[in-house]
This record gives sequence, structure tokens and C-alpha cells, in this order.
Amino acid sequence: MSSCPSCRASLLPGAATCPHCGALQPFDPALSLFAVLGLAAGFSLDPAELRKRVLERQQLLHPDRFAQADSAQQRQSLEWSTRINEAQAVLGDPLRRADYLFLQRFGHSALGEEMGSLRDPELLLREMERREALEDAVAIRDQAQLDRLRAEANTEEQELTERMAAAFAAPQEAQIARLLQEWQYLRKFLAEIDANEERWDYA
Amino acid sequence: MALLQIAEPGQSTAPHEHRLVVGIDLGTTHSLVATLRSGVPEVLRDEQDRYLLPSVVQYRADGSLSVGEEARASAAQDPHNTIASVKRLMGRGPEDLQTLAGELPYRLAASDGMLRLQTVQGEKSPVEVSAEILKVLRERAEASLGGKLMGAVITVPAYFDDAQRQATKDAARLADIKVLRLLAEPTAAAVAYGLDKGAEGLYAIYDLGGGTFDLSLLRLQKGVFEVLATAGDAALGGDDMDRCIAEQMLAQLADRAPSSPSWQRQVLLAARVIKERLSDAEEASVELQLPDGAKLDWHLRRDELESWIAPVIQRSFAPCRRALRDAKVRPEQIQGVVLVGGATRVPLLRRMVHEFFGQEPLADIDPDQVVALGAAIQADALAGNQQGDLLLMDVLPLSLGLETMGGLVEKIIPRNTPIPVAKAQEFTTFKDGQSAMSIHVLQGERDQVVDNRSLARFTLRGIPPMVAGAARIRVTFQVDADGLLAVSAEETSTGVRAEVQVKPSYGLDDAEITRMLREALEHGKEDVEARRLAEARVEAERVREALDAALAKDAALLDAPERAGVDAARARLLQALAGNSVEALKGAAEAVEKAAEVLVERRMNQAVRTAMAGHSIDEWSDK
Repeated sequence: MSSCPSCRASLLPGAATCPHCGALQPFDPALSLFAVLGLAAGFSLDPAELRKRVLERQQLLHPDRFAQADSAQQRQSLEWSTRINEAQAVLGDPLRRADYLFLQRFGHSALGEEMGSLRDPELLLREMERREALEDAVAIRDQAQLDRLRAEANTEEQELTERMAAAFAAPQEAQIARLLQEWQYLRKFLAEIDANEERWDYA
Repeated sequence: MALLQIAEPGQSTAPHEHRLVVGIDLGTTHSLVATLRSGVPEVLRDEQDRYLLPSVVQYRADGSLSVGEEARASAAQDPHNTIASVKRLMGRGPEDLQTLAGELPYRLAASDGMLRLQTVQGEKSPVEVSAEILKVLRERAEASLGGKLMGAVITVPAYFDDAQRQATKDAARLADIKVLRLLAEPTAAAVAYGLDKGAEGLYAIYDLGGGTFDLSLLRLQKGVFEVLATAGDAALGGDDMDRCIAEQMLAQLADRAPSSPSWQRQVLLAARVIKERLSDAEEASVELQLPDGAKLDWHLRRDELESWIAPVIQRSFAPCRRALRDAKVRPEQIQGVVLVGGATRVPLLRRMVHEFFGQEPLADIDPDQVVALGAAIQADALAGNQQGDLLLMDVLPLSLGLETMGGLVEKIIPRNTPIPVAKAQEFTTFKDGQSAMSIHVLQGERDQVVDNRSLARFTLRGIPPMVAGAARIRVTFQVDADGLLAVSAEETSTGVRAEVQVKPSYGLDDAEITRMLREALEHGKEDVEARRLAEARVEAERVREALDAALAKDAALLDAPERAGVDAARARLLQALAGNSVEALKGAAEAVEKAAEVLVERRMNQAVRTAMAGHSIDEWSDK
């Protein structure tokens, strides 16, 4: 158990401020993203609850609250606030949340460079069909078709969220890794839709 | 002097513990300053009761300068030395010279990687010009608040990049203003709007200023202002409408008036005037003086004007679509669309915005004032003057990236990421024994390095010699709550802290700021004079108010000759208030105090009598 540098009161792990004197505590980079927000680690997460926690923490720790404080406190507040935003970004996105939990549990990421290529023939086929449809829509600048492709992908993402939640009930490395990869491909596809649409804006 | 301060019962004479802070809207065409008085934000006015300060600075041949209305009036006569719309040049570099030179009538030069303006007083950087505007606003604030400013919130277009934000902060530093926070203009508008109107839900802030366009989508909820996405065009504004109109005027009058800088300036001013007139009328005209001296009434109908400026307004909708997409919001989910910026007074713009968002836009708060008012509220909260729940959460407006092989950009922090934000990236060496590495940071959305803004080049030195690929250099990019970037680096396998050499691609380095501050100190005497005058004026104003209050209540306590003496002293004070002499103000204030002594004494006696009425002397002496 650590203690508050200004009043010596003992602190719970991960406390941002001292419950006794209210002093801002140095930021601990080892704190998990769930712990930063005082949430239990797990895939199931209510977005409203996440948002409430983020706002509560930012109300307390945002640099605007330390505009008159000394530079050390301003620095600490910046670190806390940055980490809260990171927690919101990672935990608020079910894919990144799953990836983070996977990393915590199995010690490595299933995504990124280690991901490798798609081997499942069924997934591969779907991926190819989808991309062809996108290319066709882009070629003739068909906004309606683009919107349709996006809607389909969004529905699929919804299903993946449910499958992932089920998988985390009894986590198995291979199964979750596969789901993560499938999801990552879907995300790349969604990003490509956006990128194409954006190119139209700039053209 | 102290005697006039006797308070009415229940009033406090304790000095205000309020910290003097303001919000400043440093605009392309106008700037203004606002503060909170008794919890209500209000704009501060000059002696002529004007609150909009034209963002124009004239450098005169005699070494003096003028800022504001006076400078603007001289623009046509002295176009090269009268700098308007300098905000367009903030944080801009040599490669912007080409595009900007055609638009602006100044003599631009590039030196030390920075744009400069050639004036009769030598080369001036945009930062220095902006600082002159900020100084006038600081002096106005200090004169009307009667004390030294503790700090200010300065607003910037949401879409300003790092270099433009840094330049704004540098200008404040030169103007001796402590920046409490750089605040995005649409966010400031949302604060003023949300707190005043009790707005909750999803709001779009459509901010078309003189030279910049921003669209921000915010979620408002009980004092929390959360920016979901922002998009904009840092080179689109009401000025562009004026320019479209001016081009038509110049073309129509080409055979009667050969092009010259001063004729162009006159036409540009006339274009603005007729645009404003056509906001209220279907037809309008403006008087022009041709170079041969002849006068001409130039006439225009609103529908003609609208056909010229529609393409300018149309340009604002691409960023609107981008912001909606980034925030994953559909127009029908938006509770309200708030208009900000003088250019949103144009009726065609309101119609087009209405059509785009499918709802009538809101403009309940004066679109010229709303940004400064919001900044004042934020400044007050940052100063700790109020215990509120106000919380502003903003985003990074443009992606940050690094140059990679082949002149391409790899994004490290995408746009619309909530700030503050940090991202660490690992790099390694590609040669044995490599001890240095250079990193190029860019901001923007495009794939090619050349299409983005170069923010800085870093050289990491002191990497311990290792075989190629063995070194692990962790570079951390931290964006703070002002949207400003800082970089640090560390070699993680050995723990050696690599030295980071920062060379901003634009903007001033510290040495340059130090030099300018030193120069400012040499000119500091004028500033001290100005402050003394401001303080004397505030004090004289206070004496006059106290006297008037006393006379309004107890004039009957004076006989005719005494009253004549007080009135004469009061007249002298009013005269001094109209002038600019510190000595006259002080002398007149003292004369009033002296003439009013008898009144003060009698009021005091009367107050004591009233208080003691019905009590015995014993009762009082016991206490």
C-alpha cells in the first residue's frame, strides 16, 4: 500500500487523489486501463457506464482543473487525463477492448504484424467479394451502394460483438485470436469505405 | 480619498478577490475581449463605446503605429504598411508564399523559414503584428477592469494546426499576456450558448469568420462540452466573399480604373460594405472614388451578389460532411445548429445552412460576440473564480503523422482524437553503429508529405552504438489540452535518453522571442505610461460614481455655495476624463475629494445619528 506524498495517509492502489487531503497523486503508468476508470476488467461493458466514469474522472483530473497549480501537478494532471482518454478510446471500441484483454491475458497481441494472412477459405471468399463490390461502387461513384456496403458491415460488426462476448465467457486463445482477426479485416474494409468517400470530398 | 468610500450598510468594501481574467477572440477581421462581471459575460468597450477592434495594424514612417479603426481607415492610402487579416499568415511558411501573395496586397518575404511582411518599419512577422492587436486588447481590459491581467483564454479556429496555435501563443507572450488556454472558437461559442440557453444534446457549431471556417459537433450535457468531431477550412471566410465581389467590381470598372494597390484596397472595402448592406436590403449601392477623382455610385442587387458568393458558401459543406462522418452522426440527430461569425449574417448562407442540416439555424447570441463571451466563461473557470462543473473536452483537429520511406506519411494520431493524448512509437537503426536519426513530424490528412504541413524535424542524437536494428528508440508524442505537440525520446534497451533537437518548421524559436521581448521592454515606457493613464482613469471614474451616488441621496446636506464648489470640481473631473492626461485626472479627482469633504463629513454624522437613534450612549460604550 502506498501513501500520499503530502499528508502520508495510506492510499488504495490506483488512487488519483488522496481521500484524506485531496492532493493529486503521481500517475502510475502500470495501472490498467480498466483500473484508471475504476472498472472491473471484462469484455462486457455498458457504454453509458464507461462514459459516466470518463466524465467523472475528467471532471477531477483534467488539466483545466489545475490551471493554477504548480508545474509538477500540471504535468501529473496531463498524464492522468491523457490516460483517461486512452482508456475511453481503447475500452470504448469493442475490437480494441477485446484486443487489450487478449494482450493482458495471453501476453501478446493477436493483431498487427503478427496477424498473418487470412487462411479460412470462407472468410477469404467473403473478403474478396466485398472488395470487388466496393471497387465497382467507387468506379462509378455510387454513393447509395457505398452506404449499403457500410450498413452491411455495421450489422456484421454487431454480430461479431456478440460472438466475442460469448467467446470471452470461457476464453480460449485460438478462438479469440481468430475472431479478432476476422474483426480486424472488417474494420479495414470500413476504413476503406471512408477513405474512398473522403477522396471524393477532396476531388 | 478614503472617506468617499464609506459604504452603505450591507455593502462590502473588501477588495475583490476575483482574479482578473478575460477571453480574447483574436479574429481575422475583428478582435474583441470579454470578461465575467457578477457571473455574466460581457464584452469590454473602448472609450468610444466600441467593442469590435478591427484587426488592422498600420506601421507609420515616423516609427509610431496605430491599431484598429484608425488603421483600417488608412488602409486605402497606405496599403503596404497597413496590415489586415494577418491571422491568415499565422504559422505559415515560405511555401505558402505563392498562394498567399496573390491574395494579399502586402510585400511578403520569407526568411528563417517564416513569412514576414515588409513595412516602412522593417520586416514584421505575423506574430508581431498579432501581438500589437493583443496589446491593445490587454490595455483595454486593464483600463476597464482597473488592474493587471492575470491571464487570458485566447480562441483559435478549431481547424488551426500546431504551427498556427503555437504562433498565436507566441503573439500573446509578446503582448505580455499569460495564456491560460487556447480554446477552439466553436467550442467557445458552444459554452456561451449552452450555458446561456441551457442547451443539452447534440449541437453543430457553424463558424464562418473573416478568414477561417470551422464546423464542430458537440455533445452538451450539464456543463460538460464534449467535442465529437471538428472539421474546417483554415483558408475560407467572409473575406473570400468580399474578394469575389471585389473581383467583379474590378472587372466591371477595369476600363475606368487601372489596377493599383490602393484602388484594390478601396474596392475590397467597398465590397465588404455592399455585402453588409445587402444582408438587410434587396438592393444597395456604395460610393467609389475613381483614381481620376470622379465619384461613382456602384449599384448591386442581392440576387446578383448571391450568384457570386454561393460557391464560397458551398465550399463549407465538404467539411460539414466530413465532421458528421467522423462523429458518426446524421444531420437529423442534431438538436440545433448555431451560427457564429459575422459572415453568417448573409441571408443566402442562412438559407443554404438550413437546407444542408434540414433545420433553421440559431443565432440568438450576437454571432460577433459569442466566441469572446464563451472564452471569458472558460477563463473565469480556469482562474478558479467559480466552483462550477464546466468541463471542455476538445479534439485534435488534424492528424499527426511521420514521414516514412518514399515521401509518404504514416499517421500516428488520427484527427478528432480527444486531447490530451499521447502516443509512443518505436524506431530502430538501419546501420551498424548508427548514433543519430532524424524524424519529420507532419500534420494533415493527405498521403504525401508535400501535401501536409511540416511541423518539425527532430534529430535524435546520442544513440548508443549497436548493430543495425538492435536499438529501440521510443519516441513519445504528447498533445496537450491546448492542442500543442511536444516530443520526447528514449533508447529503451539501454535507457539512454536520446537528445531531441527540435527545429520548428515555422514559428519563432525561443531566441527570437527573447529578442522581441527585449525590444518590447525598450518600448516598455510607452506601455507603463498607458497603464498609469488607465489606472488614473479608473480611479477618476470611481470618484465620479461615488460623488454622484452621494449627491443623488444627500444633496440637501449642502448649501448653495458648497454645492457650487462641488459642481465645479465635478465639471473639472469630467473634462479630465475626456482627455488623456494622468496629471489632470489625478488633480481633478483630488479636487473632487476636497470639495466633497464637507458633504462626506455631514453624511457620516447623519449615518452615525441614524444608527444611534433609540440607543443610549452607555449601550454603545459597553461594546
